[in-house]
Amino acid sequence: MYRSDDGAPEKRKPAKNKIRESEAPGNSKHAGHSGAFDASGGISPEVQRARCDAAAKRAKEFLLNAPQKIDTERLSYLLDAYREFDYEPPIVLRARLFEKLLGSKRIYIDDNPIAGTVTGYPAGVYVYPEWDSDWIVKEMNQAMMSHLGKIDISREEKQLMAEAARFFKERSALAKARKLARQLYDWDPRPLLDAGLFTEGANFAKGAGNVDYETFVNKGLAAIIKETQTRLYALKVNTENAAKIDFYRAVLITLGAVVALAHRYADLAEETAASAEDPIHKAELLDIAKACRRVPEYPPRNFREAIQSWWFLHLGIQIEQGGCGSSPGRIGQYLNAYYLIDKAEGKSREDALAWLKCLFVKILEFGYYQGITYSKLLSGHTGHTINVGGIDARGEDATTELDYLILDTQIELRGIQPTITVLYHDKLKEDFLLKAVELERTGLGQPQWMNTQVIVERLLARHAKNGITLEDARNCINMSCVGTGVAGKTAFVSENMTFNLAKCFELALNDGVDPLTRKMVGARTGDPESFADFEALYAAYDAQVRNLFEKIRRYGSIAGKALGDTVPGAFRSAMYGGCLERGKPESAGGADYYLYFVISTAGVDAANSLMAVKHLVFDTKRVSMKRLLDALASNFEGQEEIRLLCLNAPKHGNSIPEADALVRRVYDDALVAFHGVDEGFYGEHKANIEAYSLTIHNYFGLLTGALPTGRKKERPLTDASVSAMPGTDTQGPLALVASAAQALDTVKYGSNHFNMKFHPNTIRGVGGARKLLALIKTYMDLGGSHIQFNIVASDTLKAAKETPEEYRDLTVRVAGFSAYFTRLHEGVQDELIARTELAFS
Amino acid sequence: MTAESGEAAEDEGAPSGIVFDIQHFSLHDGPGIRSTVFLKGCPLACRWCGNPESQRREAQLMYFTHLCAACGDCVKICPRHAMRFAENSVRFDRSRCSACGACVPACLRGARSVSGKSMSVGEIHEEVRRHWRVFLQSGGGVTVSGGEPLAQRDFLTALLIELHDEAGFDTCLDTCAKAPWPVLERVLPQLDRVLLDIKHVDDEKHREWTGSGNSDILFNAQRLAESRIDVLVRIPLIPGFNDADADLCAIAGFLAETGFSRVELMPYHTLGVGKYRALGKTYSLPVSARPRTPEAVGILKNTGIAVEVQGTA
Repeated sequence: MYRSDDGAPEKRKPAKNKIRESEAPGNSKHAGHSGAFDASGGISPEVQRARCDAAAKRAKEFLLNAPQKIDTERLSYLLDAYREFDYEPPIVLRARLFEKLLGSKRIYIDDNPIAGTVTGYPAGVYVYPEWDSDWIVKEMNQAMMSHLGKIDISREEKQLMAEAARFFKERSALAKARKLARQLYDWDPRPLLDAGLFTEGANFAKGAGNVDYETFVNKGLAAIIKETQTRLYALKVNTENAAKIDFYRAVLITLGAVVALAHRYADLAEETAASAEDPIHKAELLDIAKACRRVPEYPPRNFREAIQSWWFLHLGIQIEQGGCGSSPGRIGQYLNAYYLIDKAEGKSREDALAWLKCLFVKILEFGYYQGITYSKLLSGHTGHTINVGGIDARGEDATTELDYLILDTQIELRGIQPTITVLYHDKLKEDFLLKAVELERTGLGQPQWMNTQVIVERLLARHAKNGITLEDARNCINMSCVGTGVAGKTAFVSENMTFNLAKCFELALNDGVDPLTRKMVGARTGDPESFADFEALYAAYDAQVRNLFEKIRRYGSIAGKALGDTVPGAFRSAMYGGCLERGKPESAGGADYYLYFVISTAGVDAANSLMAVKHLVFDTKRVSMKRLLDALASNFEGQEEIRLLCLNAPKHGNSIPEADALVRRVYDDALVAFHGVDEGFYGEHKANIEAYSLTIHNYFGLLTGALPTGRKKERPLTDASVSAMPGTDTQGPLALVASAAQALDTVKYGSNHFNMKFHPNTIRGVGGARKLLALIKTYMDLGGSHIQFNIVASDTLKAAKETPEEYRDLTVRVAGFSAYFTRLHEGVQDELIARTELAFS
Repeated sequence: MTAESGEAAEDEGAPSGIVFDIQHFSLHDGPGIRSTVFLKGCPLACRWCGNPESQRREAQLMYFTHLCAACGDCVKICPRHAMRFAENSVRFDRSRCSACGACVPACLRGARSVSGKSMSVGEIHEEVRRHWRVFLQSGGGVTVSGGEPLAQRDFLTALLIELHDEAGFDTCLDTCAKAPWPVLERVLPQLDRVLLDIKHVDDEKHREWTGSGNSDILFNAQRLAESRIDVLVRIPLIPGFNDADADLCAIAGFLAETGFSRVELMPYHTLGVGKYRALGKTYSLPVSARPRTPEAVGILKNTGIAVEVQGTA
């Protein structure tokens, strides 16, 4: 049972390990090995558990301090592969690159008994210039940041990066997309990008959403290779099958490459064991060798092998194209059978917990760097979302024993990745919910809570034309940040990355000209002083939104083509449900379902802006349009009175019917405008709007001028998609919850995103936990889709900002994910401190 | 029931009361998530009072000088000329102020508010019922607090009849019990529980620190203990007033004798200090003082009383 500790989760020492190292029976410095081995000469469970615990603890400690290192090894193989295999179609060329990399890259085994790392260095990061190489040239000498800190890079490595950047200057997906946009539409996206209206889809490698780990772990790659060979050899060679043949060829290369990588680790473990002095270390290495020899080629025989198999498959996904949003999904459910095998053999839940910790620190080690824009949008978030709870195909509670252990693992380990999502529904058990609140109390900002009923309805609606079954819809998952799909069957692809509704409003006040860059980037909608009434203003705003979608949606389709032409991924495609059956990669429409998205940002800022102008200029006539425009143009300099009037105008988040209705109108109309444009790169798999913010609101904020919300220029926009503008929800948490739940149609939109910040006192004790659960259920009953909590005191945050070195372990939820507070952009730090503290005592 | 509603209307027409706040999402004033209705006016004037605006029945203007930018908008608008400019700041003559509230919307910085407004039973019901869903989910309801709610006894009775008997909400009274027993007794049928403040058992000390003796309070406490209503005794733990061993032993002895087996300690806090300044009052207790909470818990527990400590944040 949780025991309340009064204070805030102030500077937290690294998670306490249950077993001190000196006492750890597996510690090699410890004299005597009696009892360290089981009957067959392997390590005893007690020793293995202690070694796992110690390894996880050391890894976490290391990752808190270690700068990430760019490993340029991939770039040499990349250039080699493109020269050697230039005669192959792109998908086979890419598979050959994958094979080359997995077959030759530096490998090492550290003290984590789960073998395998992405790069040849701890906390190593690969670079992917095939998507975009411009940033490499531009940023080579700038500081690079990711969620784990500064990224290290040497002089020689810079040379290699420069060479790769030159090679891909014309060959990158982004270069091809821009070239095609010029040719087809005589259109250059750069003025819109510079104005902060949107960000593109082709320039970042993205994660794989949630691939079908379940089938691949259970069957083993040998069986899948066999099936794929059967498919390939059965094909007649004709125009219809030409592309299929290349796809299957590429898949076979990549599947074989992953098996070969596992065998390389088995060889290395055996070699190292041969010269190992310590008998326990030797036994552990031999155990690693045994596992790597077995999986992922063949089905696992126990939990340990299942974890190792999962890890190799995930490494394949990550190495093929590293990027945010490769989610383990319902791992506690599809691996539960292996946990039960161990349990039947007498192993304890603590044994499984130790393996999960080792897996979690492996996941924590991931980092990506794809340029400063990428970094500002994502702030190092890697999107390894693990789902617990949810319902099964029959609509019953799907929670497993392993789901409980996943919560326990994160309660003990307190890592920012993976992140935990509770797929909330009314049949969840009491002890499970209370344990989830216990995790919430860590101040980690986890779990986030997703409404299963909304997701099921959303998937049934979104995929009505893709033949979705009720069973598939129930087998839903949250992947990446707050995106949703069918477990193992939903490809995660973007049309464009993001767009900025606050900027559309700004354009409506400036006749289509961006006031910051002075470029014409919108539609001509007239002089605002000529607007007769609020509806005229609204029509101008809406016209800007429509104009934006007309421009960028066709560009999104171009990006889809450029990505398919340039970086088709055989391995991740093979792992999605549907691609092997159809003989098509994800980029050619092979997957069963698509989470094909663009992320909406600053909808609340647009609505609050419209509301303020309506209130001040048209309803109360307190301020003339001219005075307001002048004040905005001067960033409210010397116009504090107008800024205060703006700030005091009705705002979203206070259950004010008029403001609530306007927020809903803004979101509804954006969706209508979006679907009003006839674009569809993936045919009947239609793109849809996701509504969340990562740290995009901060990035776009830097490019957006003063707004009638009272926000000054370059300040962050409102976080999430239905949260209140910081400091403007004055009517308490229940009013905020009610406004947030109704702000957008959570079924028609791909997501909503709601952040609430609570003082730890709010959820003290079991009584506090029940109150939080009551609040969550109320929000879900009102149709809310997503909610997450920051359980921290603002004093703690202020102190952390002042003395970051003392708070390096402090984590917070920022718009859809957890991050180390002290490593956030200063603007995001300030915003978090400002966000209304909602607890009352 | 209907007979009592008739009685409640004795003031004249539709009963209305003076409310200084309705706080939703109250977590520490009874079970579940609650809406707390704060009635204005109190027979006590505790030195540590965290809600000094609750003490007088009449509406009062609160003026938060730290938010004031001396723009002069209030000076222009005040019909009674209670504000004037002096040396680039606004001087406020409280004796001229009738708390009409004209200056409140005029102040863009939110430096002014009026504490205390007249609300009818129906208006309060309308406002709290919006949260029926979360009451249901959390086992919460409505708490009537103050001030001292019993000081508006007829309105309180009418309000509780509406919320408890008509609407079926869980109702809770937060009281210092400074009232004649029949007044308290009359509302018990409309209550699910009572939060009873016991500050001290020593009459002299009580008089010195709260402005009033406690014999009626202790009498009411005994009668409440005999009644079948669910009572939670709450002790504000105030440094120098009731946190010495002798004070606590006396309180614990009284509670045990009376038959209360459970108390909640509310450690001294100074979150309300700014409101004293806003009301033109001075706060007389040391801001940095800390109560002897652990010792208090120990002493009460030794007497066999279950103790919970409220968070101070």
